[in-house]
Parts: sequence; structure tokens; C-alpha cells
Amino acid sequence: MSSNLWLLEVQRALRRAIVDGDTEPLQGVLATDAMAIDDAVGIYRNTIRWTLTRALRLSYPAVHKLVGAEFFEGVAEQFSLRHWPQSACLDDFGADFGQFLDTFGPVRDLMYLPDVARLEWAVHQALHAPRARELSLERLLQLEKDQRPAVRFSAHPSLRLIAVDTPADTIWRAVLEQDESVLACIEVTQAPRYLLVQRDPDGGAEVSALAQGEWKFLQALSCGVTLEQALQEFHHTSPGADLDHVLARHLAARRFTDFSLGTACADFAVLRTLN
Amino acid sequence: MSIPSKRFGVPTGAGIGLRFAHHEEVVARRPQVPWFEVHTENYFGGGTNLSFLEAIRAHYPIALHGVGISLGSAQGLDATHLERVCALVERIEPCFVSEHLSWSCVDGHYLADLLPLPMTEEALATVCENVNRMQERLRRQVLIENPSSYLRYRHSTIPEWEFLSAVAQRTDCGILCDVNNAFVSASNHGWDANAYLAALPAHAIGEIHLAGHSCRRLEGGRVIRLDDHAGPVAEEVWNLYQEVLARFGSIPTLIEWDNNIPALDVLLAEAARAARLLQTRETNVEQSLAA
Repeated sequence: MSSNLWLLEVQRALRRAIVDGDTEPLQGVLATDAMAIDDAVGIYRNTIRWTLTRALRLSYPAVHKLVGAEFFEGVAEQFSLRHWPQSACLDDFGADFGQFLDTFGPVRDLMYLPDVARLEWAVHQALHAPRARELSLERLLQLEKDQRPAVRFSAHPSLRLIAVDTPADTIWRAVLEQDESVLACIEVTQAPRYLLVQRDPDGGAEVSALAQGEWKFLQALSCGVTLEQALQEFHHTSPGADLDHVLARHLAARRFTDFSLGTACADFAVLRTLN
Repeated sequence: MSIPSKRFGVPTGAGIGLRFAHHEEVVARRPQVPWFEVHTENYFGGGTNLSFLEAIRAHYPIALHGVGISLGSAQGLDATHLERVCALVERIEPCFVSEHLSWSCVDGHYLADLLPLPMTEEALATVCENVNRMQERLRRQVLIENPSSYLRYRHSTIPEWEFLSAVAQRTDCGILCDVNNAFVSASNHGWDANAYLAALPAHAIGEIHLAGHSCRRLEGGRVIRLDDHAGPVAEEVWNLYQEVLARFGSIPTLIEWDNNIPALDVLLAEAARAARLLQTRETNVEQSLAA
């Protein structure tokens, strides 16, 4: 690098040295009387690596337990190199960890691991979601009967709906509760599981497995589809189900924070993307 | 720019850095400590951490100490991050808001550490611009902490203490004087820690940090000091702290301990030691006034 250094050049060079291990651009830039460049950069690299691994461990406690501390550290390092944090709030770091595990060779035999990671990320997001006001059921009940089909709900910011292909929720719970008897009985077969995750009033995480139709109904509503369209979808996938009961249960469980009235015309495209 | 008073009613005393491990105990025990400080970024969400902080805020002043705004970024502040800080400041109404003289973000990547800046006129202008933006958005004064560091840039032209003083002078920000950081950096770079601290403008010092550090021997035998916040405050730092108090007066002081976090009582004992030194300083001043 030239001696006339712009701050941005210096910051890019130090980033490259820390992330990619390329300290060549820093030769002549850093003073070496106290410490060799590799030693100095290494101190920062180690701190960052340790901080990111700890952030992932806090977000993925079950994955950490399943693979063990030493292995987790290695996976975390590989992940961090490819998915560097883009936010200075480390609660935002690690969103793609499940996707990363899908293609991470050494865990290929643990077919449930990426699903457990996806569930843990949903739990993590639910626990750290913003607060929201409660839906006014009184206001909802004041609607005229012919207005109700046009209701569009706003989902609670901590509500997450994820579909997985393994019994990830059973494994997740048993691992965190250290329930060896359940773990010993789990059959890891590939079958779709439709999961709901939400922060409960005590600040913990509710994780429930739903029937496919109920899950799709909630997903449609949480995407802003009108109640009428969501109900049609529900009837289609769950003929004969007690719809009033399902809706009342989820309203009571504070899945939604608000509603507005809209038309159904734009909903077909949304529903297509959900299916 | 008109900036409100920097003290916000904080009692002169020794507080502790509050970490998640002690949330429940602090709520249950309500220990005798004048104030707490938390890391700003740990409370951006709306879950139990924030609920604990609000419960504790009901009984104690809280300071918000940020680690991620990256005041030294050549590409400016992240607007989203600044808004999140602002929302928390409005919610908690902290006694202090502080950040670091360092950078962490470039090209949209966050390097999760407090990286040192070259001490140049360009970097000084950058930091001042970013500090001004932060203070204008928060509509209050921010305290800027002197960093600990392990590398220096050959093209630096301004001593670090002059750089920090210039930031305070140009932006009207305050200074968070981290005595451990000054000791660690001085030791690593061959500076005189006393001279460093003596060069800071007394009127700008709003808060003092004390923390532990460790030593590591490099290949070749040289020993460096690591600002790891993983143990008690070193005796050399306690000695330096007394000199800082003699120079700057009884400034609110905070014990930081972030790794290998001990029992709450251990932190309270460290804070009590700082409180005794603060009290001794007060007594000395009173006696000299009476004489």
C-alpha cells in the first residue's frame, strides 16, 4: 500500500487480513516494533472468532449439545467465514446456519440437524422479536357480519411458522431437557412436520406441531390474506375440521396484533406462493 | 449544537456492568449499588432481557454502553443500527450513553471487535462527523471511550490522547476514561499511561471504567497485555485509578467483567473497593478545603 493511505483503504486491508488471513496489504502500514503483524492481527481474529462462536452457541444450544463443543467450534468457524455478520447486533447473526448445515459434509449423516437448527433460529427470532400490542377482540366483534370475510390480520412479530422433514421439535425438546428416555425412542424418519413457534407471555418459547391445514391457514393469515381466502384454503386442505374452534383458539393465543379490512382480489397470488 | 447536561442525575459512586447471568439475582436481591451499565446491543429485542432491564431500571440508573455503532467507520454510521440505539435510549432514559473510539464495520460487514483507527486528520474528521450524527439523532451527549489496542499504524500523526481530546473539543462529546484500557495500550505500545491520562481534558471526563486484563507471552519473549475483562482489576490499574481520581475528581466509576463472569458478590466487592477510593478522594478534598 502507498504511504498516502485513505481510512477506507486501511479498513478494507485490516478486514481482509482478519477475515481472509491476507496480511500482505498491511506490510508497511502497521508498526512492527512492538509485535509482528500476524501476532497483532491474530489477537483481533481470535477475539472475533470467539465472539461469533459464542453468539451461535447462544442461538443454537441444541445443535451445540448434539455435536459437542469442539465440533461446534469448527462448524461455527466455517460458517462465519462464509456468512459474515452484516449487523452489529449479534442477535441477527446466524440466520443461514440451518441452510449451511444442509450442505456441510461432516454432518451429512445427521439428517435431522439442519431441521433442529431451523427450529432453533425460529425460536431465537421469537424470543428476540419486538413487543406488540394485543389485538382488540372487542373491535373485531363489532364488525358487521358481512365485513368479517374481508378481515386481514397482522401477525404477532414473534410468530414463526416453519415446516421441517424430521421430528426436529421432539429432538430439540429432548436435548434441551436432557431427556435421555425420549431421545432413545426417537425414530428419525422423514415425514413433514408443521411447526408453530411464538414467544409466550412469560418470555419463553411455545413450540407446537400443527396439522397441515391449520398451519397453512395460519400462514395465509399471517401473510395478510383475507379471512375469506384463508378459510377457503383451510376447507380445501381440512374438510370437516372445526374452523370456528381453530380460529378462536389462535385468536386467544394472541397470534395476531391487529386487523384491517381489504378485498380478496390480490390474494390468489399470495396463496399460490404459499402452496 | 445544544447538548443537554452530561450527568443526568447519576450519583457519584461505583456501579457494575450488568450481564444476563445476574438479571434475576439483581431483581430479587436489589443489591446496594448506585447504578448499572449494560451493553446497548443486548437489549434491542423485546423479550425477557428487555423486561429484566426495565424492572431493574425502575430502581437504578442505567447507562447504555454500545459496542457496535462503529464511530470510526469511513463509510459512516449504519442508519438502522443508530435507530435501534435511539429507540432503546428513548425507552430506558439512561444516565449515560457511551461508545468507543474504534471501528467495526466496513462494506456492510461487521467485525465483532473494537478495531483501532489510524490517528490521522482524516480519521479525526470521520470520527467527529459520526459522533455529531449520533449526538444529533439521540439529542444528547455521548461519552467516547479510549480503546485498548494491539497494533499501531505507521502513518498515524496524532497521539491517541490528543486525538480523543480533539474529538471531545470539536463535538462536545464527553470522555469515558477507561483506566484499564489506558494501562493496557500504554504497556503494549510503550507509552506512559500517566501522561496519556494527564493529557485528557478534565472537564470532559464523564465516567471511568475499570476492568481486568491478562498477560500473554509471545514467541520471542515479549509480553503483551490483553483487555479480556475476565478477572479482577489489576493492582497497577487500581494505583492508576487513584491518580486519575486525584486529577479528575470523583467521577462515576464502573466495574466491567464480561468473561468468566463471577458471582454477583465478587463484582459488588470490586465496586465497593472503587467506592472506598472515591470516598477517600472526597475526604481528602474536604480536608484540604477545611485546612
